Amino acid sequence: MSFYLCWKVITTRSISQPLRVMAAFLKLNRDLFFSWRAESVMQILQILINVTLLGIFARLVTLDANIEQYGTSTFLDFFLIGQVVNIMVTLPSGSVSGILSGSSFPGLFVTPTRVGLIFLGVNTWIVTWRLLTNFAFISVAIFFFDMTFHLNFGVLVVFFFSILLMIALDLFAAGFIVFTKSRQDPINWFLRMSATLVSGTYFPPENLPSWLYPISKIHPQTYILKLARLTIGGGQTLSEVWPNLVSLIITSLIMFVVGYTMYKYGFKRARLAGTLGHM
Amino acid sequence: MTVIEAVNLSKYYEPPRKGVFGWSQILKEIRGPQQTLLALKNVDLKIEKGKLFGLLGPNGAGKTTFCKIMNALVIPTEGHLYINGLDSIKHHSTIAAQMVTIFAGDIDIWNVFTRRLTVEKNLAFMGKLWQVPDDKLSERIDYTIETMQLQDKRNDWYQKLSAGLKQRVYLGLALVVQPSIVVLDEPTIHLDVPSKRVIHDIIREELCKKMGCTVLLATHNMEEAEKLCDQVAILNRGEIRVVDKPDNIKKYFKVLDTLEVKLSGINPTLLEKLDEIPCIKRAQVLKGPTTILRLYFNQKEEYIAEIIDCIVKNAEIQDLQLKEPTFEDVFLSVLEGDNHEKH
Repeated sequence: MSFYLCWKVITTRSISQPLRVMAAFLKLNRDLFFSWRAESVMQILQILINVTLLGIFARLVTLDANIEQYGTSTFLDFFLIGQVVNIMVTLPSGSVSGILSGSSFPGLFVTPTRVGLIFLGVNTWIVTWRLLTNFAFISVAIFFFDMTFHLNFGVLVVFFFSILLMIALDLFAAGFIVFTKSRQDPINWFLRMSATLVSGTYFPPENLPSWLYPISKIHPQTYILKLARLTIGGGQTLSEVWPNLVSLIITSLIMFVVGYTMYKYGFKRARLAGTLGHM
Repeated sequence: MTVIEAVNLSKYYEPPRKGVFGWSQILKEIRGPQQTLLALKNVDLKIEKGKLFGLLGPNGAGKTTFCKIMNALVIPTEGHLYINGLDSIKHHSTIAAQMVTIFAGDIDIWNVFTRRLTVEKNLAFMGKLWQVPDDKLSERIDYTIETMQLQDKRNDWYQKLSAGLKQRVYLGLALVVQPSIVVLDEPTIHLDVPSKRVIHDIIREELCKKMGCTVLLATHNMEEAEKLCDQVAILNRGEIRVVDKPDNIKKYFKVLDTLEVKLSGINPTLLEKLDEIPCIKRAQVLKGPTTILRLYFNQKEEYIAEIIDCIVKNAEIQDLQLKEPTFEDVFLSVLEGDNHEKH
């Protein structure tokens, strides 16, 4: 009976239509991805090579740093969890700004598909693919390098608000790009360039030179990585990380409002100026 | 029943930014939009259901801006554009479900279709975005591919098609979706003559007659507008100059007939005598190996015999050609705002 009710809900037009559109986007982008046959094979190979090299690298390198404060018992765990988190939190990068500044957006906008659904739809395949690759990365890291991986509610909450923060920053970047008609995206550019260096993806930020350390303090990925390592590597629960998590939640929510406002403003300005798709 | 209605629609664009970054302009924009470039000015227009309506104008007249406002891609500075009674900006998604717009002039700028996918897959994807039911989708794609004569291109990647074939695929979108309103912005811009004929037939037979669509055809091609449209609006510098049937527009504007005569043995008083005939507005004598007399006149039916009689009496006619004004002449006359009077 409950299955029948669920099926009835899914098949109502208001729900089934967006799902159908999402499925259409997923199929289109999957077919497009595999149209580069050699490249798709190379990408799979690249994941395997990456995880092997990173694992070997992390075993060889030792750092004179207080790794335990991050909840991870070894530098290997610290390093591999950093990679996993890096893949997850960079998922939203360009998810809105890239589409809005692309030449295919006006063609999609004139369809009855709502703008939010266009952004979701276009990203469906790439998110699915990157989640699959991350899953493969985690599996190899667990089975071959003994990476500690706790999966609890705290991990999910950390990931949810981390991704929300990154979406908010990308919305802000989208508004900026579409308003200035700039081909450069300084927000995503700063986040990408600086993340690997200052946020603690590969080594603790405390090991940075003193003049660089303050940048790690303002980089959102520094806090995301710390929380993720505490939950994934240290197995800390939601209540244990809550004091540190509150600031991430508040920042994410505030930034989401700010980012969305900037996006709406930039989008409206582009329609007033008639420059949608003019990048 | 009115399907498309523009009420006092005006659009002014911002001037282009100067300098490398245009920071000073950005600061001005933050203070308030700088809108100075005219695209549309006080446009009032009504398009009735089932009509093929032509929006005719030269490049930069405001045709594409009008089509973009219909699709909420551009927000007007003043006024409103209603489609089936709904504001085109506020109810974009609802309107988009009933309307397909082919921006054929922008086909290379906007990647409407995915380059590395087949024609069939591209059409299927777009059909799903327009919520075409699954049970009808494949049938409509078959019908579109056959009608657009794309049978041997069905499984070819879109990027392998020539510009003309790409345009056919784009126009095929209207046959897949089968909406109640079709907006065609320069639909034959990249096409050769046989392809243009195919498209004209499709617009008239399939879209108008079979599907009963209301079609807005924005074009600078006068022949196309005259041949296809039930009604035409001539748009120049953002303003509607006239709205009527193409034949009526010809009558509406007194465009002069032209009489070109090859002459020999001319009486020197010929031009003076022709000047006495009231309908002649201008007379030109072109001297070369043969002398050619060119007369611009109106009220042809009343005065043609008198004109020819005058020439016969004062020169020897070797050849004579009477040129009636074409729709193109009318169009150019409207654009130039020349000396032809309006009734």
